[in-house]
Amino acid sequence: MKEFFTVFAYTFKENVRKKSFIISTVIMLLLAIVALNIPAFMQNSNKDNTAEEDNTSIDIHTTVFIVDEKKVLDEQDLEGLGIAFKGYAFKAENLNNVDALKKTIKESDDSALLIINIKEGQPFLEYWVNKDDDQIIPSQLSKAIKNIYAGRVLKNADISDEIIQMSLNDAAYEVNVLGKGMMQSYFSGILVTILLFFAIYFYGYGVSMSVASEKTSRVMEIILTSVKPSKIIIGKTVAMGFLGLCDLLLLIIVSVVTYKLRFPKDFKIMGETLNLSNFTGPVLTMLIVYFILGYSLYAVLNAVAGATVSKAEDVNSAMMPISMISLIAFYLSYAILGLPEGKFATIVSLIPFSAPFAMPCRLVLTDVPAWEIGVSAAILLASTILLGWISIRIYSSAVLHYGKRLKLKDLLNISK
Amino acid sequence: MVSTSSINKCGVKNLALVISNVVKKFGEKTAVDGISFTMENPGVFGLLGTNGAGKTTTIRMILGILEKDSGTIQWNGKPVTRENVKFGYLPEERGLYPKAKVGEQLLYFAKLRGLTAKAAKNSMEQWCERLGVTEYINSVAEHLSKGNQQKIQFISALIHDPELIILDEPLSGLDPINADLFRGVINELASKQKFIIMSSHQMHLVEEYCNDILILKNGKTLLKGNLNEIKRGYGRTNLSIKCEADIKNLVEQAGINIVSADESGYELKIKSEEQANEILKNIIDNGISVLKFEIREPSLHEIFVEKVGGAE
Repeated sequence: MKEFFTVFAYTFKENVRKKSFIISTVIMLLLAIVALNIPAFMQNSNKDNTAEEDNTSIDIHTTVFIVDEKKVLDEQDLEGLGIAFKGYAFKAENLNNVDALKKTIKESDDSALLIINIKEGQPFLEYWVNKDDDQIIPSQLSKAIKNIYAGRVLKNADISDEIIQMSLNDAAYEVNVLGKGMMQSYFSGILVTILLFFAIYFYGYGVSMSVASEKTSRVMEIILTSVKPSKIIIGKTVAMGFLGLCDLLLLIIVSVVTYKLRFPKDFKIMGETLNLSNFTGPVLTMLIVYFILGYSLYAVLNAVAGATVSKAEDVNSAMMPISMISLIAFYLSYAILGLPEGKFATIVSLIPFSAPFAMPCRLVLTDVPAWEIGVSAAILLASTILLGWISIRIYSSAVLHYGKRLKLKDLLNISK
Repeated sequence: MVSTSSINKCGVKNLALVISNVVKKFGEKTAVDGISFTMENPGVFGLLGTNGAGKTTTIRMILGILEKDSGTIQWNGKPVTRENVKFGYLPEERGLYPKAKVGEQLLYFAKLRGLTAKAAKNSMEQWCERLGVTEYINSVAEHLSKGNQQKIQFISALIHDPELIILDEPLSGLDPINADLFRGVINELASKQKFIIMSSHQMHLVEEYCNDILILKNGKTLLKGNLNEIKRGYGRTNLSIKCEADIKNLVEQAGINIVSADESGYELKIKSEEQANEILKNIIDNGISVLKFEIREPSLHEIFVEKVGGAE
């Protein structure tokens, strides 16, 4: 145990003081602070814009021509519609003009044609528009015209105005969102996947480099005369992981503080509220758990990659297969952003190599059943232990092999 | 000489380091092929051989960092493992973290070998002072000269007061003054009853220290035993002569093989001491004055060249 702590302490101390580590940490924290401040800046500049908008919004941008042979609407109703639908003007037209009107509509996006008929005692609407990109208007118009028509029918039946008013009122309702908003989830999901990918890759690379530099400098030979290889690899891996964890916690703390201080509560993009409320305590905890598990899985493999080289320059090419696996896993996780509840998402979050990216991403996107989290974490842990055990065996022999870089086949041979 | 360290508490004499029939194969190639030797007494044991003869592989197996395929290596009757023996190892090349501070890595190595932080610091300071590298404690290793790096590595091998010390080319890269400094330390270690295995290509160094030697070639033992006995076995067949005039004719008349001839005289191979006396008599009879006349055993250098070069 003492040797483990000696290796741990030395590796941690050496790496935490590295300039590259300090610089990358500072940059990362600055990025987080800047990113979390952007909404506040955007909202400030938005406030100025909205003040101006109020004056200009009276402009009419669409003219709706109404052909109403059955006289469902009178002059007063048309005026009423004009007031109800801001930016729309309603103009009565003759049935004879329909073809000419259609031509006009086809040539411009700022006009529409509404033909009102009565079918089986009910108003029937035909709406003509150049592009079908304004779905709200027909449905709202239909509702408004129905109300006008029904009001008139009820009035003709001598029903009192009060009752008519009551019967035409919509049931009052309030929207309370319980699920996770799409836009918001998407944003958070990408954030989590990228964060975990970089953390796991970056610190895994650190393990690889550390092993390779010990091997190429032949320090390994000296250390091995007093310490078991397994203790070196475990001490080193845990130390780098701990460093990564500190980094991640620092990032989380700085982000949470900046978020609380600076992030506007009602920040919206494309009409949807965007905030980081998806990152609840349990989600952050699972994020850390998956970082630890995912990091460990990739780190033991990277340690072997580092042990196979004789020259420090070869580390990158030795890490190639592992980098490829992690990239594929990353893209698989990226792919589940759209469908976090599907079968594909479940499979991706059970495969040990993609689970560390996919599962935390799903956790912020949707509600994942507890059993899935349990099984995914268990598979990941078991694979880490198994691969760790194999890695230690390979590492012990590979680390003293100099000369040609070891191929996968050689590694399997020496680990027997 | 029977040393105290090779007698255990019960008074039964153990053979301290016993290596028997050790084999190591790398794939098809046999790197070490059935090596056996015994180091009964403290002192310096010479492990010789050309490059690629299997020295480093043997050393690594003794250190337990390389798994042997068969054979046994025992220390005081127990298998040699990092738990049973305190090793000191000076590898042939590098062996330092290039980008770490000298002092920090020395302390790290010492702690890994079980020293407390305080003991490690004391030992490091003593050794740094002894080898004159105190001023480099806070320097980054790669900024040191090769000789100073070698000193740091030497300290890293000795910092924890090991019982079994393995030195691979200890004097490489050292100037004569520092080489003497190292010699002094090695002498001191030998007198402190340490077991030292030294591998070197510098034959005079081996001759100076080693009681016993083993010469390896292609993984096989070519020659082993007590150095003095080996030399004696060759007999006094080397003759060095230096005279004021050229004696080439006289040598040729006597039918003696010339090994080499240069300004410092002739190196000759003689069959017997009588042959030497005869030629000396001839030289004097011819009125040539003799500056140097020495009959001696072959040097280790000569034995090595003959054995390793000749057995092709």
